[in-house]
Amino acid sequence: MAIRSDEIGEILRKRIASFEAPVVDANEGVITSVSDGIARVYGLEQAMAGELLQFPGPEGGQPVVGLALDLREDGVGVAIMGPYEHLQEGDTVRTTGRVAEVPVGDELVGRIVSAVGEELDAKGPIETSESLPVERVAPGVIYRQKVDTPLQTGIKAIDAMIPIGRGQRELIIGDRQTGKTAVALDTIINQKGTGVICIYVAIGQRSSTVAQVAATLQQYGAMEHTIIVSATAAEPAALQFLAPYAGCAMGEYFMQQGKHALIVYDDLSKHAQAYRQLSLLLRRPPSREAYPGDVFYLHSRLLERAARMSDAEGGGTLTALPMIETQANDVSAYIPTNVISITDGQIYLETDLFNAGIRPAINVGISVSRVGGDAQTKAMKQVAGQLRLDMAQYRELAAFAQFASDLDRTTRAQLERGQRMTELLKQPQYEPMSFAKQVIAIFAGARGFLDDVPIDRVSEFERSLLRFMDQNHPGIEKDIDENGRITDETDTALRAAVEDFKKGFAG
Amino acid sequence: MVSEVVARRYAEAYFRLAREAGKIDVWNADLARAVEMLEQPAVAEAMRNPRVPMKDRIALVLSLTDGLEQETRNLVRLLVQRGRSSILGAVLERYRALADAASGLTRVEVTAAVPLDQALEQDIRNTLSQRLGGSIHTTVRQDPSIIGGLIIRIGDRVIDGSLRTRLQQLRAALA
Repeated sequence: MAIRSDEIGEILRKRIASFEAPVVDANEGVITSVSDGIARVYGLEQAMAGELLQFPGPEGGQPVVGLALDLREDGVGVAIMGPYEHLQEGDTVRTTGRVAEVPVGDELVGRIVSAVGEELDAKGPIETSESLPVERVAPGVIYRQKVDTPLQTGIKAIDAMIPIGRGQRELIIGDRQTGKTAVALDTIINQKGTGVICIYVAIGQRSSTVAQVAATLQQYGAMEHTIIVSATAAEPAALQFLAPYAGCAMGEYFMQQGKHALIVYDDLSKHAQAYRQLSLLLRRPPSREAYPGDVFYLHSRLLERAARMSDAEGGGTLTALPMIETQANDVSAYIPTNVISITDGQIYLETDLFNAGIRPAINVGISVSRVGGDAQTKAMKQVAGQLRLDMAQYRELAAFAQFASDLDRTTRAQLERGQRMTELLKQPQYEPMSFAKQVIAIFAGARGFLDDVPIDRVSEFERSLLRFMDQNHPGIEKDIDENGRITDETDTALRAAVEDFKKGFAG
Repeated sequence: MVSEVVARRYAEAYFRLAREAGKIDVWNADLARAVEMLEQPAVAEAMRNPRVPMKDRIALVLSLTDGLEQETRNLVRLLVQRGRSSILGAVLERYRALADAASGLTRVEVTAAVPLDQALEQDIRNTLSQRLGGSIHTTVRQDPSIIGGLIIRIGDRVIDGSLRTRLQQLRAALA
């Protein structure tokens, strides 16, 4: 429906008539220098740390906002969050009395927003009724409770051996091109229909990559429960620095409502680099790898905000999946060691495995989840309990077996089993698997039903088995799903069903 | 920025001496006079020029400040000796701020689009005096670009009731 021009006039008249402009009572300073997105401002005696400051806008444009980061006796260092080329020495800067905050609420779900909550997807303005400060103190000890509910990633290797709990922080670490983002995207896709709101924070990435992520999520119907917060490489460093905190505030909103949220930070290496740039320009002393002294706190205060609230606080959760990109597998660099020590475990992805066709390229030997078994469903524990250990032994044996020609029977059996399990844990991208299906597949492998299947037919076996179970024994899958455990009867039924299937599987 | 901090230290020391001597106003006038002398281009150049020996520089400033209070001359001499004569202006500024604070005087800059009449200026002074306490000294600046209303500056604080700012807010609200 078209709006008539006199109606527009009426709307404008009403808005102008009801417009109230209170007299501005603020603190003022003058710019003494501007460079590389950092302004030094003389004066501003009353400015608060993290306060938003108002700079004059470019000719005919809106005012530009900056973030007071560096308070000194004789002035303030400000990170400018917008164009700064028009700013000059002597321009006046005013305080606004507000600290950085972002809009929060259900209205954001399905949208792509900037680090300050502005829409980037041209789907119209976002009108939320609430907003939260970007920087907040993480919930304290008494507001939390133990993490014991699983967050299903839909990836067999992770759910079976490195289970992630709701409210946990699990690091995804690896070189470039090892499938870090793929793991996170699969996890987001798998949250469809579970009521978990996902937030994907892109920090310092190419705009084309972010567009691709959005398109993928759209394609798999995952945008309906996802918010994308984007601060691409083209954005000022101040916005890249702010983006994860902004995304976290959006997630905390859902957590406070007693809901469940998952936040993916892709990736924190770039975040540390953006902060390093700001810090060096603010003339803070550099330390190791030229990062500032508080780069640990930068990430610890962010990741501490992931939590599982106590029942008195609504029982909501915020699960964090931070990512770190390593250079040439070097996990002992500064930022990787920092984030490894902060998180509750890590998933290592390796180029060698990736190139060997093991995808997801998870190195299960050094990947851990410190919350571990507590957050695993009983049924999964029953079938996969031994799996981690078996796989570790297999890899050790495999390394030795390369030199030995004849092996005793047990060793050979262990090797055969290991090869088949490795094959079974492979999984194509964007095909997250339901919990019950995972249990059935791993059941078949761990109970030795695969031992006489040729290695190159393992994935075919798995696919056909799951289809067979769907068609002929839907009750078993439902039973596992509902009970969350394998009862003796189910065990027998499942065993019989798999044996039944094997007879039909042309061997 | 460093010189700002240094100037404050000198100003505080000088002010403390002035208060002890009970000659805050006299020293103020003296310092202003000294600043005026040293800011003459020829003198300033001589102070910067490394070819002029220190002895001559001191002799020059002492002769220029002849007849002023002894402490003022000492201050100027000390600054010249330490190669900091360029901050003298900043010292004066800080000294005045300290003297104002000591006497309960607040300096306020009022910006208006049109000339203010005496009665209105007095009215502004009275209102501010009630709000801030102490006596108020106003400097009126005329700036037609603010269109209407007033902008009052008290140090870093600014109370902006100008029409220009209101129009900008209106534009932001309608955008």
